[in-house]
Parts: sequence; structure tokens; C-alpha cells
Amino acid sequence: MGRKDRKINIGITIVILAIVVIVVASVGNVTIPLNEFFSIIGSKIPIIKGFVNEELIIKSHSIIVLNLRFPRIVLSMFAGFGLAYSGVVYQGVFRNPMAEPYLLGVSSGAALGATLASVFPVSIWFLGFSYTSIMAFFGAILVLYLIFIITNTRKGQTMNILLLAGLAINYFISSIISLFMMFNQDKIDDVYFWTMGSFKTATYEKILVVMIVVVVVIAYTFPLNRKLDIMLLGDEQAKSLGIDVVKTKRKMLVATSLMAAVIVASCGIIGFVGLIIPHLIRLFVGPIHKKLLIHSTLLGGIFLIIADTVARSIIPNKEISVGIITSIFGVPFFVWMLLKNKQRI
Amino acid sequence: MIRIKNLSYSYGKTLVLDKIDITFTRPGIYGILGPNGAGKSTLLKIIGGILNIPAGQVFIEEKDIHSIKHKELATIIAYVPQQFIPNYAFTVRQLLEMGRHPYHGQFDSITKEENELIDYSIKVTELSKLEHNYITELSGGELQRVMIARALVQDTPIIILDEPISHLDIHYQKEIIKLLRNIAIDRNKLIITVLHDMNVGLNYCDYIHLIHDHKVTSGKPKDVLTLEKVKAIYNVDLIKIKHGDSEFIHW
Ligand SMILES: Nc1ncnc2c1ncn2[C@@H]1O[C@H](COP(=O)(O)OP(=O)(O)OP(=O)(O)O)[C@@H](O)[C@H]1O
Ligand SMILES: [Mg+2]
Repeated sequence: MGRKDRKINIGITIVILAIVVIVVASVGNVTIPLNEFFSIIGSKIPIIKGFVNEELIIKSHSIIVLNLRFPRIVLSMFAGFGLAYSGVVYQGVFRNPMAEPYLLGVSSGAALGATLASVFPVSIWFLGFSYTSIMAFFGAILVLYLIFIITNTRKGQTMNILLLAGLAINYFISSIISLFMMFNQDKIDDVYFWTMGSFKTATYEKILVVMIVVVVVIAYTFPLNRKLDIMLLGDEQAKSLGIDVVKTKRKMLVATSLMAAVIVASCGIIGFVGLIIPHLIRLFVGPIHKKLLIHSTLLGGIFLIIADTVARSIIPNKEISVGIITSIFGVPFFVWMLLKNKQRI
Repeated sequence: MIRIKNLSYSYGKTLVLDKIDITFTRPGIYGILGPNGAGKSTLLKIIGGILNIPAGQVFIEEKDIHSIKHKELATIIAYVPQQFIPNYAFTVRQLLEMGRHPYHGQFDSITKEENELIDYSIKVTELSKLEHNYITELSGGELQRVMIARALVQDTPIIILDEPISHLDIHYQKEIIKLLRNIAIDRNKLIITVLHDMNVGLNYCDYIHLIHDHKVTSGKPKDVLTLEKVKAIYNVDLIKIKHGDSEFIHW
């Protein structure tokens, strides 16, 4: 009995990502041919500009591509990268396949923040983020912090305590949100639609912030991938192999939590990406984090780009929340994969 | 060399070790014996840096274990736990590669020499056939040998093992004990192993530390593991069997 063949290729995944980006660019209420799409993008890039035949470009198409489609594609890609990546890290650090920043407080915290923002409105913008987004960011950070404190004071069987604490806090916060809503029924729609997630509000400023955060966090934590592998063996083992467990965990969690909070602020709550993508990849590549992180990140991007394309184009002239799409298509697929693959995860 | 000075340890209110002094000076095999719950594993975890203790009690190569970084300690001491339950499907070889982690920077990968060391460790623990199997799908004894192999891969001057032969059949018991003896002698390693088998202690260890009643009795195997002492500490009737130069005790 030997090792089962668990090979998927990074090159192939990147090529798929590229193809997806290109194909979805032409999909939507208005179909824009690929060569025109590239001409429009090219006309904004300094050196390539000279080679672009501007006559090909229809003005309204140019606006659609530059102001609507392209920002959405890029933002959904980076959000997908970040969500899948932080899912893998959380699952590794907590040695629990259920761990994921959204389940552990980011979603309820962000929803609370958004609720407070709509109940007590102020008109502030920061780097392309609305007041609602900013409140969501701080809500997410606050709730994560709370859950970690609870978990930390109960040392020992950290994993279960963490999930229980996360669950309890989520219920608690849902009730608080409901309470606010009872007295502000006119605001229910706003908050509700915000929480379901959307890339409609993608702007270049937002993209820049999310992109920088995602790239920096990944660059900072990816070199620790081998420590994550070893920490899967348990704290005792990790210590005896020379890992400062507490410090490493803290580093990874703080960085990825921050990333998840920025993403939730940028596009609302898009569930399940951090859970299903890492699991799917794990079925193919096994527990080694180097592969797991790379492939999950790429697939997370692919998945969210496609989900958002479906969200904005499946019903003409009507936009469906992307969070709905990720769950409606993601969950059955995930369950099917779980049933099909009997291998241990 | 390890020096333990006036070490006490309790879990909450449960006192385990009470002001004990132990030194491990020269290379060789040191046996740690004692009844269940005496504190053998606790002692090993303290030496291995897994349990934290106040400064001034344990010194490794004259340095307070307190001031040694995790990573440095892992290049001095390799620890084989009493029990390890794997939950993730790494292959045997992947697990062995982790033994090199203490020597690696963030971007280093396994070198050719390290691969040879891994191959050697696989060979001497007779794991060749299992090299690419998942650690989640091994028998208890196979896993125990994998953990011993990883300690060899870690290639430290000190190896501490918690009941390394408890799950092994007699063939592997003999091979592993012989292996430990050989590396202690040929490669000048300090090997500390928790044992329950008095006869292994009597015949293969250079020195014995018998832990009982929160204290420790140390000495040459024949002086420590006397029939009377063992009878009293373990509360069991025993007989002594002589065979050539060797002595054995049995219930
Ligand atoms: N994590 C813990 N928390 C509380 N008490 C513990 C803990 N670990 C061990 N103990 C207690 O400390 C004492 C010493 O335990 P230890 O594991 O060191 O014994 P041992 O000599 O290795 O025994 P065995 O031969 O059964 O392996 C026991 O009474 C045990 O119940
Ligand atoms: Mg023990």
C-alpha cells in the first residue's frame, strides 16, 4: 500500500484562473467581445496604450468595463484569495476542520457593526470604504478579540472551547442585532442586503486597500507554512521540534483575522468560501500546508469571480447577492464531495 | 549533560516531584523507572522543554533551560512521547522530514545529506516498507518506531524517550534497545529512556533513576533495582533468576 497519487499542478490552477478572468469579463447584461475588453484595459496602461486601436472601443462599453466589471472581477478575486487563505490558516492553527474566521466571529461582528452604522448614521468615508464598512471592520475585529480572550482563559481543550465560544457569541450578537432591528424596522432592508455580500460597490480605492492587505498578509504568513504542518501534530510535538507555538499562532491569527475583517468590510458577508475551498483542496493535496495554501488561495479567487459573475448576470437587470450564490451552489457541491470522497480529512 | 537541581513540580495541587536532584553526565543509556503515576513522563517533559518550570532548576550543557530558545533546544534534545495520536494523514517520510525543522530557516528545504540521514533512520528502524504510508494508518508499534526514527533524524546529542518499546513485539524490542545502545556508544549520545521492564533496566542501562513517592533513587542498575526495593516500591512479590552473568527479576 503506497501513497495515493495526490497531484494537482500549480501551473494549471493559474491558467484556469486566467481563463476564468478573461471569460467572465465578457459575460453580463451587455456582452463585450474579448478583444474590445483588452483594448479598453490596454488603453489605460501607459506603454501598451500606443498599440491599442481606440476605434474598436465603444464609449459605453469602456465605462462598463472600467467602472463596473473590471473592479468587480479584481475585488472578488482578491476577496476569494483572502477568504480561502485565512480559512486554511484557521483550520491549521486550531487543528479543526470547522474553524474559519467568518464562523468564529467575523460575520456576526461585521453584521453588528453594519447594524450600528445604519441605526446611528454618520457620513464618513475612508479610502473608499463607507461608514458601514468601517463599522463592520471594527465589529469583526472586536468580536474575534472577544472570542480569543474567552478561548485563551480556558486553556487545554482549546479547539472545542473555541467553537463553542464562537457559536455562543454568534447567537448573542444575532439577538442584539434583532433587538436593534425591532426598534428600527425601516433600516432592516439596508442591513440585511449589506450582510448578504456584494461586489457592486467595488472601486479602485477599495481594490487597492484589499489587494495590499491580502498580499502583505500572505507574504508575511506564508513562510510559516511548515510550522503549520508541524503544529497539526499537536502543541507538544510542535514545541519539541523547536516551534514557539504561542507566538506562531498569534502571528498567524492576528494577520489573517485582520485580512478577513478588511474583506468583510469591502464586500459584506460572503460565507462558506473559507470552509469549502480548503476542504476541497485538502481532498486532493493532503495536509501539507504549502500546497494547501497555494491551491486554496487560487481556487478561492476562481470561485468568487465565478460566483460574482453568476450573481450579476444570471437574472437580466437584477443583481443577486453573491453570498446567496456561494451558498446555494457551494454547499451542495461540498456535500457531494464529502460523500464521494471517503478519505479522511 | 543535564543537571537537575532541587526540582519540584505540581499539577495544580497535585505534587508530583519533590525537590529532586539528578545529573546525566556522560553518554550512555539512563533508565527512568517507577510506578504508574510516579512522574516519569512529567520529568521527561520538563527536560524536553514542554512543561515550563521556574529558572534555576534544570541546566542543559550548563545553560538554564529557561534561557534556551525552543529552536535551539530542539537541536540539543529530541523527545519521543509516550503516546502520539496522529489526526492528519502525513506520510511517514513527511513526518520524518519534520525532524529537520529545528535546523531550517524559513526558506530552507531538505538537503541531500538530510535525505541520507532520513534514509538511514528508516533503515535502522526497519521502516522501509512503510515509508510512503500514512501515519494515520500505522499500527501502534509501527508508529512508535516512526517516532524513534524521527528522533534519530533530529540528530541531537541528547535523546529522551518515554516508554519507547511499550508497543513493540520482542523482535523490535531487542532491535530498538540494541540500536539505542549502539548510538549511545558509537555516536556518544546521551539517551534517557523511561522503561517499565526491570530486566531491560538491569541489563542494558548504564544508570538508573527510580522515581517513587515524589523522590528519586539513583545508581547502577544492580544497586537500585534490588529485589527488596522493587518489591517494596511496586508492592509485588518477585523472584530473581540468574543466567550466566545476567540477573533477571520476575513476578
Ligand atoms: N496534565 C496533567 N494535569 C494534572 N495532573 C497530571 C497531568 N499529567 C499527569 N498528571 C498527574 O501527575 C502524576 C504523574 O504523571 P506522569 O504522567 O508523569 O506519570 P508516569 O510516571 O509517566 O506514569 P506512567 O507509568 O503511567 O506513564 C500522575 O498522578 C498524574 O495523574
Ligand atoms: Mg508516563
